[in-house]
Amino acid sequence: MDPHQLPPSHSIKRWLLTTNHKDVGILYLVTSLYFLIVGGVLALLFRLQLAGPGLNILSPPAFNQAVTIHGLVMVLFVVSPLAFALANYIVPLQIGARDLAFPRLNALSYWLYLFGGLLVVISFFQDRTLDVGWTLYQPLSSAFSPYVGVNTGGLGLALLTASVTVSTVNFVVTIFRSRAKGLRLTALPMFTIGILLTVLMMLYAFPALLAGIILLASDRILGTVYFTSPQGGAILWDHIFWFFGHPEVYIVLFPALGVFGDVLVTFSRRPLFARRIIIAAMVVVATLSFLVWGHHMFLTGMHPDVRRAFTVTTIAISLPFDAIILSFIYTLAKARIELRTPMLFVLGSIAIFIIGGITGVFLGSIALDYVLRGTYFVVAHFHYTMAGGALVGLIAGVYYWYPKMTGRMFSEKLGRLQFVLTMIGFNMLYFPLFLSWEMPRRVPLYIEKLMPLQQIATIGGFIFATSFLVMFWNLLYSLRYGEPAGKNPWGAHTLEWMTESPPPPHNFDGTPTFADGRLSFIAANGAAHGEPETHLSPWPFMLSLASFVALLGLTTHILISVAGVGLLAFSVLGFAGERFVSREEALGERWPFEHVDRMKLAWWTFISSEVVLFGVILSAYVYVRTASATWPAPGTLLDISHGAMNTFILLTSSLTVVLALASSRVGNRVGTVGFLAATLFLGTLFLFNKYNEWSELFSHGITFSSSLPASTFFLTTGIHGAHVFAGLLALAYLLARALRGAYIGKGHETLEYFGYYWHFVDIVWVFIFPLFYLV
Amino acid sequence: MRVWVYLSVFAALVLMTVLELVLFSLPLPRLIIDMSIVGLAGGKAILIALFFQHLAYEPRSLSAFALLGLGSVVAFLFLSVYSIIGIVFR
Repeated sequence: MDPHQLPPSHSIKRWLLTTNHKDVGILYLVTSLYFLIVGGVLALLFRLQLAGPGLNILSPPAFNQAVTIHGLVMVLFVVSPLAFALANYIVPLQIGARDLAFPRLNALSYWLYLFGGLLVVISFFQDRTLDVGWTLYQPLSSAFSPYVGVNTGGLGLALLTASVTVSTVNFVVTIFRSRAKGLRLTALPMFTIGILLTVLMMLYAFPALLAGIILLASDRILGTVYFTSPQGGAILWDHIFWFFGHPEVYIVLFPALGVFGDVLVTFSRRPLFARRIIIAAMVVVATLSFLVWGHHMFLTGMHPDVRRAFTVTTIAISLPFDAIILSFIYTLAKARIELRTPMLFVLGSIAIFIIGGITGVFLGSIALDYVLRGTYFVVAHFHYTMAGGALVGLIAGVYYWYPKMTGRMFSEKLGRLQFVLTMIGFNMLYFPLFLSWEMPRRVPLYIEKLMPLQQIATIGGFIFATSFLVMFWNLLYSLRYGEPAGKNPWGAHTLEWMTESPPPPHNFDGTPTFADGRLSFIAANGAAHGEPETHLSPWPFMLSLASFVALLGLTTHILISVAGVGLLAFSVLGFAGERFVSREEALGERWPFEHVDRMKLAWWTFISSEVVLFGVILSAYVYVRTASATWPAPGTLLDISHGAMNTFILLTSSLTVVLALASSRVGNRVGTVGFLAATLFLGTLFLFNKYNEWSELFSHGITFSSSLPASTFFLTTGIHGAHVFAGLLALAYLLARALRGAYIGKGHETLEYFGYYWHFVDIVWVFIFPLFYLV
Repeated sequence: MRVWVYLSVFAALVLMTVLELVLFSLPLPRLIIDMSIVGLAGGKAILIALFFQHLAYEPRSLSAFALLGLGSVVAFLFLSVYSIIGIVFR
């Protein structure tokens, strides 16, 4: 098969191998809608249970599982991926790029997402899946939920975080480096601005979730005591989870805000009012989103100063939203509004979101939070925000860009019908939950007097579900029978509407540019020069399948895991060895990274996420030490000589890496190979020394579960050691290539990129050594 | 980048590590020792980032970008630890 040509769209091969951003967008769209059905059916099941105060449709464990998986699936596997379905398809078109910066990584992030979701689904069929609430509170999910399915579900979430990391790196580099000439960051369409801020938040939020999952998995599988000891326990988990969890609210919301911006402009025929203020407000929200997590913890008894600080930030974060909503309303004032289906959904979504936002301010008050915490008021509030604001807003996006994706118009009549059903169903479902504020959430039974409200909610749930059936029918029917859409059925002004519907594989016939202040196309497309770009690769699918098998084996049979690791090694080599042509646009707007090539920016983006991963793990260590009345004095639990020796070894290895790079630059083959080999030796020596240290501790009866000092040491140095091991595997590959003449004179950038990773691992050790051995 | 710069940075890193070990055994108040050792670790990290990872020679935008993640971690560390100051866990 020619990897430069895409097979026809009815070919299964195309969908398994494609790396084209539009195909990957469609894959995300279909998969997120599949998970919407999964999460929706679970919701209907527990709404049926709640139709009466003492019904027995779901057993209490089944109710807990349904509620938990509904929450996780909807937040992580539906709303965000639906946003990224649109982002995959639309962002490169809006910025005038031919594809994302790293098409294979884009396909990889999709397959990791799919297989992560499949692990969560499979966990249903292993005794019992996650049943502890989507917040996975401790010690409930570490000490009191000993089911295999819980582990499988957790591994599914870990795979999802890998997908998110890959995806964020890709979008950050694409939006910063692949914009059409003259397209400044502030001039980007609102949807792309929303996605840029979303991926930046994801970059720093999801590593915290990964850190939490690692600590939790370690407690459950290895027996460490992070969350089962009182000095770590519930409050440590709350900090870690909500440091991820609160930005996640804005992560799901910002793409919808972007949709609002673009749709409002198109259907009101007016520029967005105070557009720069909206952008500034979104930047402020994105920043503050990392400083408000504590309002989920007002009842934990944390220090009053910190509670006050979190109250201030929580109230403060509502102010930029006021500016955003007011700007949207001013945009509509005196405009000739065209009430087409996307616009109806945007207006409905904004109205719902206003209610969600106002009720959120209530929860920012410590006094009110004492009453409302853990009740259906909270459930109603976040559904008004995340389901009404984000999901309904994204449905507007699906309708808005459906003609571009398919080349067909949808049925306006069915779209309006869905809108009416959505508004009625949604409000019948969730508004009674505000009034059920006396009722604790996650409990299948309730007092008699709340029955009318709960029954209205259940009826509303079924109407809301019916609205999605109308949407599915509309999208499928129109795919075949819809009117041809043409290039620009809405008369919109953003770049995606200036090409065919659906666009050709290279997106534009000509290179778009805004260099002279207005859109024009330079005749020769960049893709026409040199070797054609590749659009197919089997390795993203293979890598993800291998990861899935390896993780599934951990909770089924170890031989399956071994087979998965073997397949993973094979796939990594295949991925690394494949000749895949993907060029950056020759002309492009790249501020503020004009002088940073795309690979360098990608590595630094990845390292930023690693900073948060290790930062949270080290913070957890500082936290439990602070919470502990006693801690072993330096030199009593750990032998300082081991730590000191490993410090000198790693520092030396950092030197040999830069000397290998220096040798490579001047074409010194012996030096390059020699210093790479020295680094490989030093890294191996580091791990050997670490092995000896661990063996000594084990021989003295000190294990993962001995105490918090032991748990934190083994877990932190274990994760660091795993990073060293991964670095050594990469190093062995580089050395093998260097022995065959690679990186001499040219191609030395690869060594520099590897160095970024290796030095980062060194920096982490630079902190581990004093914190664990000397302080 | 000249090799002598790499060698000088390496020498400084080794020296600072030795200094950490010397400080550890000095008869000074524990708080001063701990703060100094962690400060030296921070200094070593900065040296590695600036000269081995070449941030000193990259545009400032890249350093600022790299620092964003660090900023969020510092906020997390400070607020999470401060939240339990003075609370006894048994």
